[in-house]
Order: sequence, then structure tokens, then C-alpha cells
Amino acid sequence: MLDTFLLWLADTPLGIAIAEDPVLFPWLETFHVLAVVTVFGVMLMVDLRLLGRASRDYPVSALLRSLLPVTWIAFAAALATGALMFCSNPVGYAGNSYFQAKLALILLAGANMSVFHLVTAKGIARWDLSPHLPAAPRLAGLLSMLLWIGVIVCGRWIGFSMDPF
Amino acid sequence: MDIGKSIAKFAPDVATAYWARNRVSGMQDVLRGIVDWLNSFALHESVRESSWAVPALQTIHILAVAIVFSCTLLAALRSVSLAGMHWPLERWLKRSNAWTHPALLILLCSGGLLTLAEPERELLNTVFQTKMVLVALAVVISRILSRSIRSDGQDSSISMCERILLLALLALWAAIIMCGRWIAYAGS
Repeated sequence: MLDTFLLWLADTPLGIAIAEDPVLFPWLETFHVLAVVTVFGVMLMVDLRLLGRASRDYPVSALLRSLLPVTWIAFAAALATGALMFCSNPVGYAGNSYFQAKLALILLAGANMSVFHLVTAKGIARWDLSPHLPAAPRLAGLLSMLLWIGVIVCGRWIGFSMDPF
Repeated sequence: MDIGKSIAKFAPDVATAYWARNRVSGMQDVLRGIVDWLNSFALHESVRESSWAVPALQTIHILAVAIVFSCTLLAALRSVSLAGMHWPLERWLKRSNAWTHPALLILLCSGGLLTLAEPERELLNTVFQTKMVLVALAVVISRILSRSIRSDGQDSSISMCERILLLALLALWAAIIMCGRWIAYAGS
């Protein structure tokens, strides 16, 4: 069923346009890179605060309130540009192990963030102003940082491992 | 009568174009020479032949530029009071400099090794050349901004000129990132 959907997607006017137009894919990729570096870079500031490595005098709740909306906007842009690029070669990307790994890592990063917000952050009042945080938020920061580095590594390797079509 | 002077007298546009073309082709010859010199290095072969060195270096390059771009972005957002209100702008800029300097060094090293691996792809590419000009401009604007804000003092607010410079710096880094991706598609 997935194969049917992927083949259908490849044959849509949108999929064909992005695959064949000489500038559309490069521009999508360019904005994708811009969005991803924004997600990673801004998220890194949060992660380093959670790890107690930087911005130690910035209240955690204030930093989250300020920076997470920026990461969400950038993530939405990354998702949109990524989805459009996917349309240009659905079968190729879906079958690429680095692409599969990238999606898995993004899901894991989302799960990590959910656990942080739903569970760990419940106790934020206790460590909001502390320069050094308890183990749970520190772990969330470390996992987030490693997972997003993994996303970028996989993203770069997709380009080097795609079969020509 | 000298042909060159005739052309210059009767068709100044042609003469200028001919002069410019000679200067450009002169520069291309210099770059071609540098490319040939770089191709002679053993390290060039090692990096180029390796299946993982180039993507690994590109990944490091991307991670480093993420640091530079996000620091500039946060400072720019702070300058228009959209984020990071707990710190004054001066603090954000100081943080930005502290992180950007080592990141720029990483960009230089990873970029240098990538150029060593594929000199033609970079040095003879007009998009890459544009990127280098923009990087130089970004560094200059960054320094002007740092000095200007430092001399303002802590209690004064950022001037319109400084705000414009900061937004221009952000736009420059976005353009640099875009050029970085477009090297693969255009300019050769």
C-alpha cells in the first residue's frame, strides 16, 4: 500500500515539477538547510542551558518561552521543504536507509521533548534559576543535542547515498 | 595607429569589456594555478578518495554555521524585542561573539579541507567566490557592530543604525548559507 502511495506521489504534477525543474529542488534544499540550521542552533542554546554549559544565569522557563517558538517555526519550514523535496523522488527517499534513520531520529527527538515537557518540566520551579540542573533535564538536553546532530549527519549522507533515478 | 586606442576611442564599451575580460581571465588563471597546486598535495588525494571524509567535513561545516547563524538570529530578535528579553542586547552580542569566533575557525578549517579535496569545485566556482566575498563582509560588519555597541555603554539603547547593521548581518549569513548549497548546482 505504501508503494502504491509513493508511486502515485511521484506521478503528481507537484512531484514531477519538483523532480524536473532545474531550480525548484535546489531552492527547496537551500531553505531546508536554512531551516534545519536554525532548529539545531537555537535548540542547542536550550540544550546547553539544560546541561549547565552556557547561559547559566538565564531562567530555564524564560529561555524555553523565548526560544521554543523560534524552533517550532523553523521546524515547520524544514518539514514543509522536506516534504516537497520528498515528492520529487518518493520511492528513492523512502528506500534510503539514511532517510529512514533521519525520520526515526526526528521522532525520537520529539519523544524526548514530549517527556521533558510532560514529565520533567513539572518540577521546573525547583531548578529554574539553578546554574546546574538535576539529572532528568540534563539528560533531556544531552539526548536532544545528540539526536539533532544525528539528524544533520543523516541528512547530509542522504545526498551521498541516493541511487540515481 | 594602435588598435587598442582605436577601439577605446570609437567603442569605449567594447574596450572596457575587453579590459574587464582580461582582468577576469587573469584572475581565473591565478585561481587555476592555485587549483593545480592544491591538486598536487597528498592530503588532497586522501580526503577526495575517502568515502566519508567529504560528507563528514560538510556536516561539521553545517553544524558550525548553525552556531553562527543562530547566535546572530537571537541577537537580531533581541534587538527588535522579540526574544531573549531577560538579557540586554549587549549581553546577547557578547555571547554571540564568544561562540561565533571558535565556530568561524571551525568553518575555516573544515572549509579549507573541503577546498583542498575539491579545489575546482570551490575556487573556480562563481557562487563560491561570491560566498567568500559575503563572508568577508559579514566579518567586517560584525566587528563594526561589536565596537559600536561596546562604545554605547550599558544604559543606552541600540540605535537604528546598529539595528539595521544587525539585521543586515543576519541577512548576510542567510545568503552565505544559500550560496553554500548552490555551489553544488551552479557557478562552474
